[in-house]
This record gives sequence, structure tokens and C-alpha cells, in this order.
Amino acid sequence: MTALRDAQSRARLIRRLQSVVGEPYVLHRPDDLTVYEQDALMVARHMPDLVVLPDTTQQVSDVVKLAREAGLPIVARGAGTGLSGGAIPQAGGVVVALTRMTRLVELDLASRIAVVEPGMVNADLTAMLVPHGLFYAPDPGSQVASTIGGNVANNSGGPHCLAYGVTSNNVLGLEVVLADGTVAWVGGRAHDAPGYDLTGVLVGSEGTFAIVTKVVVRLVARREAVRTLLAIYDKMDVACEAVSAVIASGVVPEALEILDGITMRAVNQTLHAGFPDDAEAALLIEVEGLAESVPVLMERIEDICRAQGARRLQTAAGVEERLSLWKGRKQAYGALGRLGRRAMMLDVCAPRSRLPEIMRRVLEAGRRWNIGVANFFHAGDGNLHPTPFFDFDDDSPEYARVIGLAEDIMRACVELGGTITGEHGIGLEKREYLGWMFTDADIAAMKQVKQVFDPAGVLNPDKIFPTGQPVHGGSRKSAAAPA
Amino acid sequence: MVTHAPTAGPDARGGRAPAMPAIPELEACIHCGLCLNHCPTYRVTHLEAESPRGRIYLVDAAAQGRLDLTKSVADHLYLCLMCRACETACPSGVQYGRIAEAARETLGPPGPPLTRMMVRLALRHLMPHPWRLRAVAALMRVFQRSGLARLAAGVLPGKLGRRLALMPAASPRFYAPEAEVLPAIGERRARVAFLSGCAMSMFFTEINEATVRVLRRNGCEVVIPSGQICCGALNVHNGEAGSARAMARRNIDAFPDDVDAVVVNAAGCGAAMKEYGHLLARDPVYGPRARQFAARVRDVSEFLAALGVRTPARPSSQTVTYQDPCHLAHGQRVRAEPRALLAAVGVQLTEMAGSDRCCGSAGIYNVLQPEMAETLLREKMEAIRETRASVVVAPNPGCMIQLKYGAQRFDVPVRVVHLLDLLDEAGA
Amino acid sequence: MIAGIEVLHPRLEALLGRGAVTPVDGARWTVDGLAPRLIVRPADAEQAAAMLRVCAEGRAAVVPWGGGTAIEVGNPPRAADVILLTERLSRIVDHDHANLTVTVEAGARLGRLTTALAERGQWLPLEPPHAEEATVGGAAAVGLTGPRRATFGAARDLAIGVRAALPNGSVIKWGGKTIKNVAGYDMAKLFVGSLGTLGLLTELTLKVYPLPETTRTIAAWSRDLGSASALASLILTSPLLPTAVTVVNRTAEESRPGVLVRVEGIEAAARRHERDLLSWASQAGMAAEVLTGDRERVLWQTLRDTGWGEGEAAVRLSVKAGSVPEVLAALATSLPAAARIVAHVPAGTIWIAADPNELAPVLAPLRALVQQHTGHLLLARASRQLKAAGDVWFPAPASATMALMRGLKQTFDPHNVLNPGRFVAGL
Repeated sequence: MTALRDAQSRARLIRRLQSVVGEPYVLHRPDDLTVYEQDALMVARHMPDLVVLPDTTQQVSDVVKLAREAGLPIVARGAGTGLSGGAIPQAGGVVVALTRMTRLVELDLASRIAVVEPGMVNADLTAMLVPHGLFYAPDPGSQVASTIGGNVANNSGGPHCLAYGVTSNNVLGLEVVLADGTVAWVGGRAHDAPGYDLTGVLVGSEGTFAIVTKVVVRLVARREAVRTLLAIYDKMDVACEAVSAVIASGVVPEALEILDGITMRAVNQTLHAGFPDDAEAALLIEVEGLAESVPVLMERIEDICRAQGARRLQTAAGVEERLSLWKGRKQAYGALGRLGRRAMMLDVCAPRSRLPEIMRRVLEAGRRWNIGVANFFHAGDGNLHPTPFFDFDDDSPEYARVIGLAEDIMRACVELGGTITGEHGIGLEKREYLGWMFTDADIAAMKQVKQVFDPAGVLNPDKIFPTGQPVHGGSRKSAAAPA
Repeated sequence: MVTHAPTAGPDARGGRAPAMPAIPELEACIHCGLCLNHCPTYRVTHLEAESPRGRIYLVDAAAQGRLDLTKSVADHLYLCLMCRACETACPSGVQYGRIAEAARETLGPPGPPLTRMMVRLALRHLMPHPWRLRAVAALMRVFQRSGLARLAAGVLPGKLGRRLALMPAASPRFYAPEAEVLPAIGERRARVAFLSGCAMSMFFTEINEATVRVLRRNGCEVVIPSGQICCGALNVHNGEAGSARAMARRNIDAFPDDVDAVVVNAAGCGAAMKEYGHLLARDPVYGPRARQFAARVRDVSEFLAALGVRTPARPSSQTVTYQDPCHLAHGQRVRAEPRALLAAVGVQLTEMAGSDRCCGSAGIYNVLQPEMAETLLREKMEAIRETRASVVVAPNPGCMIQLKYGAQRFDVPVRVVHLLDLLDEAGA
Repeated sequence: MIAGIEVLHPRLEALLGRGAVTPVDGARWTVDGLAPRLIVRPADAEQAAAMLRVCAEGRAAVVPWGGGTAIEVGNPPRAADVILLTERLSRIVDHDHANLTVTVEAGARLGRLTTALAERGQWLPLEPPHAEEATVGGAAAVGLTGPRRATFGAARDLAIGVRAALPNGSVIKWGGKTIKNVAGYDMAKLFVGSLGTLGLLTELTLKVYPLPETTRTIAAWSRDLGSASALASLILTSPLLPTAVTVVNRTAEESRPGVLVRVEGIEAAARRHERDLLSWASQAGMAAEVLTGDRERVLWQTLRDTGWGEGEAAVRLSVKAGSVPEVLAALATSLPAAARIVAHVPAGTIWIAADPNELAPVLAPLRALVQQHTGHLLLARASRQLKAAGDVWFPAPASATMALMRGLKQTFDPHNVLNPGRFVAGL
């Protein structure tokens, strides 16, 4: 695919790229390139031909044009915290890292919108807004490192999406660089931009439609009062029933998470987050609103939790305790590093009405395949993260058990009307399973949309759509889709 | 904005590239990337190779034989401040410090050949020898008092001149306690050993004296072993683990066992000594002794906070902000105790943004990597300026030297003191 | 059309059954003066897709038609041969109460759906004009919003799953019952708001919300629009959480400008809102009252339907929330005296209802005003002449953006049979 087989054309391309972004920001040495061969998905890696770090939209455009001319695929990358391999340059080519583009371009407090560059770190944006009593709502677990651009590419969620929506509900417009280097704006700073909702279809397109260079984000006002509750249960089953009961009661909290005992104990090893060491499950619930409402709503939730069999209820006493509980929740994935050398966080969803059932099937699957599974997830929106942890490598024959487990869980979710990915994206990792969610006609329609944006297929190739080459487990073909 | 370009030159480090051994701590990294935005060098460069995850990846790739340990790789690893903010951020508990130290042990000292030689010389033949350090201090005093230093800083071009200006003022005299054992003043509540330290003894004699005073006033019998030497932190951080081990063994021999704690008033030294167990893990004789020794090491703030200080007659009225030294906050997880002590003497603390972000001192880093150090220092001084505090407390000699320089360089009217300065002033 | 209706009619009948295809009778089935010849009522998505394929082959222009409440939105069609009426696609497929979702066929009327959801204490926050008669699919395809948009989102935010019939004869789906879903491209966003020009929405799964325990509206009346606007701004920077904040220059009952603030939730919250709002209104020298029950319901319905009455013309401005005060000030001086202004402030949506004859001279200044504020304008209801004088949507997307939209239209409806010429820039 590439025209860089000979050293001369490579050198020429490097020089031309250097004249666009500056010499330090064209990476071409093996050690400089190797750190970009992987993102947070550890079962795959592939060296890029080059890595370029532009600083302006014009530079992104010029880089795309040069890469196109050289016949190289282009893979955009933020912080590389994606768990589905979306930033892994599996076909080689040029990785365009947006990490230098971190500016807050515009802040319109009266309208509660901001325009940011794609490399802005999610948590940094919210930190900047603290003095103004605002925040950016989608708060994925990776927010201390992940970038807004990456969040857009994956339509990231986070615990507070229950109340405030996912990225797609919080982005009003985008400036993008298309596959041929053209700069285009979609959406705007106001609602109801004329025409098709290109903003909506670009969010979650995993870098396969365009490179995002500016994002118009919606900001949310911090609520007057907040209360955080940890409801502790002796059985996961019962905790799940409690979640369903809370939702069904008509009280919709701002966040409703579940952590299982395995996770809490793992987190406790690294952090004093305030989790109990001896419970099988806990609900982490947050209610926000007016000073008058919060206590009333929380009391109702507490009543429901108790009625559903909570062993103990623990309200966060102050800001520190609240932040500590959330830090514990957000570090859960990392904490699992203590339980096994490897972990594979799944990202499935099921309708909330089926939560107890799906959790039973998850635990059954763990027993059947004899692999430990930790669970910590956004129960409020039905987005589970069953995370098997294990010690063997991905090229060991034991690994097939992990795949079997993952497939059983994904299959169960699809059967119950759910999805194989709630927020991490298909990327590389799940592309062979796309057919479990979609018919051939569905996939054909999606490919048509891709054709419109990127007819030559240069942007992040080999992602999302099946190629017949599973990323996990080498030569294993993906199992038959559920009926 | 500083751009860090790997220094030009041939890739191979003059001959065969050393092989990186397997480092067990590497396994814990799951590549999640949550460390990235906590790393000062990543925040400046935005390059993955200048992040903890990237550096771990390079070391791992080298250990697996997928990557040669070229000069370029070494440059990435040595641009790291070893501040260990990443350890604080890491949800997996990856011990980055150990990984980096092991990698540096393989790589040897940083820099181009001449620098490497000079660094090795200083680390092996100067640091372990208190009398040679005294001599150097004396020379510095002469150089500085005679006006030669000022002349040189004014005459030498740009970078070199600034590096000279960085040189801290040597104390009027090298620290020398009146006796090896100083009794408690009043009721004896504890018996501690005190590490006088080389940087503290050369540049901050008065702080050592203040430390001992405060300890004694609060009922501590203080033992200052005459056989002690430099803790070896600089050696460990700069690829001289061998000499560091020898220094550790000397100290373990020099310090008495029958003390409640080994008290340290320099964050970097405390962190290093708490890790003597790891440093000497493979030593069959000193290994167990090192672990016991390490278990007794306390930063002076930890110790005093636990012991409880006298409430002062004259509480402080200054506007104060606090710089968390990296090796105290990240290296030893000590943050609350210094603040508690400041509160105990009536200080109203104004926290600065990013108080636990590295000031750029990082041992001899600010000499070896002046551009990055300067960038970080500028940000740090701005953060201090924004607090409008008149005093910044930084309980570590390296930080103090860097911040004093920063106050001058960036025109920030702030007095840089050690925690024990304030406690002593307040009469605690 | 390639062949005539005489050929198409029997083909469609053969496909869908005789009863499903009827000739158009009466003037109610015209679109901007064009009269289609046939009405087709498919029974399900597959029939709809088959029908679309046949029409595509025959190049017969299709007008998707739900409740007809917003049928006039859009540029005058280039052609209109067949009406695709969705009334038989009207099942409520699945109301998953515990999951807070409802799956419903596109032809179901919102009024009926509202009643069904209310039986289980829930509701769907879709409030286009004449919502009771509008269909879910129509509301989603046109994408008009109501007073509570800023609180609950628009159709694009509520639709978490869609099925659509395409002109190539296939039925595709995306999404489902989970509110988080990133498998594949978000095709729902493509079809929602597309005015039926890419495909026909046949089924949607939408997020529903619990009905609030209590609802009340605080109305504050002032001497001038500026004070009403100022009070609205104050409310929006306060900690209060109203579900709607709407500024009007007058209503049918009240000739003064005012702010209407809708409060929904638990009693404790409602009381707090009431207390604060009445206090601020009083401080601003504004007369205030609390509306509940039918009075409240009718008020919001009227506001929602502003500009959509018999013989009225309607323009919708979409600007940033922060621009609303300035825009309102400009409108106060530039609109015809009888024009009514309804501004849903938090969403930045301003509806202007006017006499169709008085609208022409103000259209250009309105477009200029909107441009100045980097907003958008939709000439939602007007005479055919006025609509034909320029694109009803303003401004047209930039050329690179337009190229993408044309590409999408071209790929999904290559023969341009779905609402040809009606969408933005004649898509």
C-alpha cells in the first residue's frame, strides 16, 4: 500500500512534513515510532511509518494531503487511551497525533458553549470551567488523560451520562479535515444547523470519516447541591434488582454505578477510596439538583435501596469523600492490574430491565470458563464492563477461554436486546463481531456513508468493518452469530 | 513553548548497545495511559515517548529485544524528571521509579561522553566522601564571595551564564553539629538519628540547625552519626547504582539501630533511604538490614506530625504557599503532615495550582536539561505568583535552590524557606 | 416519472394489495400547490421499502406523510407523485417501562403514544407543533422542537434506535434499546431531521422520562420585552432548574410581554422555584402569577403551536442562548406590530408568527440578523411564492459541507425520489 519502500521517497516525505509542522514533530526513528504502535488495547500493535504532530488545522490539512500523495493511510490519535484499538495503525501509514492542539479557542459563558481543539484533555476542560460554575458532562473513566477529540471519535460516555447524555448530546458542531485535506464545518454554535446531522454521524465514527480539528461543546451548570451514596449489598443479584427498582420508581439519579467485591478490594489496595472490603456489590449513586430536592430524592433512593436489601448505606460526608469514591470508581480498570497480569475490559450493554438477568449470565460465564471476572459499570444506563483478569499471554492456548467468555457475554447481551459496545467503540477489537449486531444490508448502508466521507478509504482503514482477521486469538474465526 | 528535539548525533551509543534486563515491575503496566497528563515532560512536549507509559514501553521493548538501546532511547529516558507523579496517578500501582532506575543502571549516566564522564566522576568520587564535599563547598564559598561568580555569570554566554547563576550560595560554614549526640530539651520523648545530608550541609546549614533545634525542643534526643555519608540518591537516579549500593551500606553501618526513627529533612534523601531495601535486595548480608533500616526512615514532617509539636507562642502571620517536593508527595506519599504542621503553627495556607508538579530541579536535572527545567520553573513561578503569597515552603534543598533562582529569574517576590525554617521561627 | 401513474398504480397495488393504494382526492393532500396522484399505505417496513424501490425505478416522486402537521416544511417540491402515508405503521411495539424506553412504529400519533405512556407514569419529550396529531416518525424526520428542548433534547437526542426503509428496497436498522451504543456509525442521526430525503423512518426506539410529580408555571408580565428578556437571563444564570423558560411579546390572553417559566419535579423543588421566581419578578416590578392545571396546559400548548394556526406564517430563528436578548431587542423594533414572538431562551429557539402578507419585507433583515449572530433561520410556514423566492433554510451550508450532504443524498436516493428538492439547498 505504501510508497515508502525506498529510503529516498521516505526521506523526501519526511522533509516535506517537517516543513509543515517543524522538525521535532515529525517522528521517524524506530524508538519514536514504536511508542505509537499501540493504544490501550494491548493485544495488537503495528508500527506506523511516520508520526506527525500538527499544531493547527491548516497543518492537519497539509499533512493529510502529503500523506495522501504518498499513498499512505492516516490514523488520527489523541491520548491513545482507547480500549478497542482505534488508534492502532494496523495498516501502517501516518499517525496524526493531535496532542499538541490543546487550546480553548472560545468560551461563551452566556450561551454555555465552548470551542476547543481536539487535543484538550477532558478533565482539563472541566478544570478550566470550575471558576465559572460549569463543567463538561461526558466524563469517561479515562478523562484525566483522554482528549475531547478522542471522546468525539468514540462517542464517549461516563457515569454522568445518565443525566447529561453522551458526547453526541453534548457536541453542537465540528471543524474537520476530510480525507482529501479539505477543511469543513458541520453543525454550528446554535442548534438546528440546516441539512443532515453530519455532526451526529461524525461523533462515534472512530476516525474513519475525518480528522476533528475543533469541537463546539455544550457546557452544563454545576448544580447547587450534590449527594453521593454508597449502598452496600451482599449479593450482586440483589444490587441489580435495586438498580432496576430505582430506575422504575421514577427517580433518575445523575449517576448510578455498580462495583463488585472483586473490584472494590482491588481498588482498596491502591487507594483509600472508602469502599468496603467485605461486600459482594455496591451501588454508587449520585443525585444533584437544588438544595431542597437533593435530600428528598436521596431519601427516596435510600428507601428503595434498603427495601431491596442493602446491608448498609454510606453517604459521602463531604467533597473529599465524594471525590475519593469517584476516583476509586474511575481507577477500577487500572486497579485490576493487581489481580492478574492481564485484563480485558468488555463494554456491553443490556436494557436496564434485564440487568439482573445479564449479570447472572456474566457470572455463569465466568464460572463456566473458569476465569475471574470483575464487574464495575454504569448500571444506570445498562452499560456493563465485565472484566476478565488472568495471567496468561494472548498467544497462549489458555487465551481461547477468555475469548469464549467474552463471546458468551456479548452474545447474551445481544440476545437481550443490547449491544456489544456501549462506549469503547468497535475499533479493531470487535470488528469481526459487527455482524452480530447488523445485517448485511445494515452494514452495506454504513459502508455507503463511509464511501461518501472517504471514498479512497485512507482514514483509519481496517477499523469497524469485519476483515475476516480476528484481532484476538490469532487464526480463530469469530463464532457464529446468535440466531 | 519548549520543543524537545532528541539531540543530534549518531544513534548508537559509541559501540555495542547495552542489553536491557527483564524488569519485573514492567508487568504491572496495562498501558491505560492515565499517567500521561500527570507527567510534566508529557505536558510540555505532548510526545508519547516523553510520557511514563511511553518510557515504560521503550524499556519493555528493549527488554524484549524489540528495540535497541540507542542514544535516542536514552534521551527519552533521561528527559524524565523521576518525579514519580505518574506513580501517584497510576491505578495499577506501577512502580515507575524502580523501572526507570533499573533502566538507568543499564544505561549509565546521562548526556554526551564528556558529561557522562564528569557525572560519573562526581558521583563516584565526590558524593561518597564528606571531606571532599567540604573542600568543594569551601572553594564555592571563595568563588562566590570574591565576586568571581558574579563576574563569570555576567560574562559567559546565555545558557552557560544562566547555569552558573543557578549555582546556589554555599553556606558560610559546612554543617557541623556540636556533638554526635544532642540531648532533648526538657522531657525526653524520643530518640532519633538525623541525616545531615550533603546538599543540606553545603547550602543550608542553618536549616539543619533549625531542624535539630525543633526536634530537641520537642523532646527528641538527636544522634548525628559522624560516619554517615551522602544517601546516594543522585547516584541511583543517574545510572550509578553500583556506587549507590556502596554508599547505602556505609550508611546502614553508620546509623545506630536503637533509635525511634531516622529523621531526614530533605525529601529526595528520605525517599532514597526508604528504598534502601529495594536497592540492596540482592545483597544477602545487607538486604535484611537495609529493609529494617528503611522501615525506620521518616521525613521530619512525618515524624513531628506524629510526635506532636509544641504550640508556638508566636504564630505565623505571613501569607504562605506550599510546594510539595516530588520525592515527598509522590515518592513518600507525604502531603498531609507538612500541611498539618503549618496549620499547627497558625499558618493560613494558600494552595497553589499544581503544588505537586515538579519545579524542574530534579537533582542535577536542571543542570543537564536546562531548557525543560526552565519551562517547568516558569510555570511553577507563575503558579506561585498567582497565590500572591510572600513565602513558599519547599522542604527539599533542590527545590529550594530552584525556586530561589526562579524568584530572581522570573521576578516573583517570594521568600523561599524550608518547613523547619517556619517551625523554628514560630518557636514550635 | 418515467412511466405514468397508470403504470405505477397497478404495480403498487400488486405489491401492497388493492386497499393500500388509493387515488388522491381533495385539496388537503397538496404540498406547496403540487398535487400527488396516489396515496399508498404500506402495512410494514418491508412493504414501505418495496414501494420505495418501485417508485425509484419508475422515478416517481414520493412524499412521506405522517400526521401532516408539518407537511409544508421545506422548499417547494420539484415533483410530487405519490404520498407514502404511514398510518398503518402505528403499533406501539414495546414500552419497556423499567428501561425507560419505548419502541414505536413511525406512523403512531404522538397523542395516542402520550396517553399510553402516561398509563405507566411516563412521557416522551417530543413537542412539535400540533404534537397530538403529529406522528413519531414525522416529528423525528422534521425535527421541530418545543419549549422543553433545552432540558430534554430534541428527537436526535431521544432516538436511540431506528429502522428505515430505503429506496433500494432494503430495510436497515441501527441501535436498539440501550441508551449507550457505539456499535457502527450512528445512522439514527442521519435519518432523524432529514425530512425523509434519505429514507423513510419506519420505527423508532426513544428514551422516555418519568412523569413529574408536580408541574406549575410561573408567568411574569412586564412593560417591555427587554425586562422580560432580562428576567429570563437572570433565571438562566441562577441555580434554578426550570424545564422551560420562554419569553413572549404577547399571548392571546395577555397583551404584555412576559416570561413563562415551567417547573416540573418534586413538590419541594417546585416550591423553591415558585418562591424565587415570584420574588425576582416582584423585584423587577413585574406582575406575576402561578398557573396550574388546564390553564397551564393550554398555555404551553398555545406557545408550542405559535405560528402554526390557520392562515399564519412562521419563521424559526436558532441562535446561541446568549444572543437571545440582543436578537429579541432587534426583533422588537423590526417586526410587524401584529407579529407574535415566542422565544424558548435556553435552546436559543425563537418562533415568529406573522401574517403571511407582512412577512416578505422582513425576511431579508431577519436573515441578516441571524447571520450576524452565527445562527440559522427556517422559513417554516409561508406562501409558496415566498418560499420559492429563496431556500427556506438559511444559511446554506458551506460548499465542502454541502458536498458531503449531496453525497449522502446521492448514495441513498440516487434517483432523487424522496421529497425531491424540498430539503436544504434543494437536496
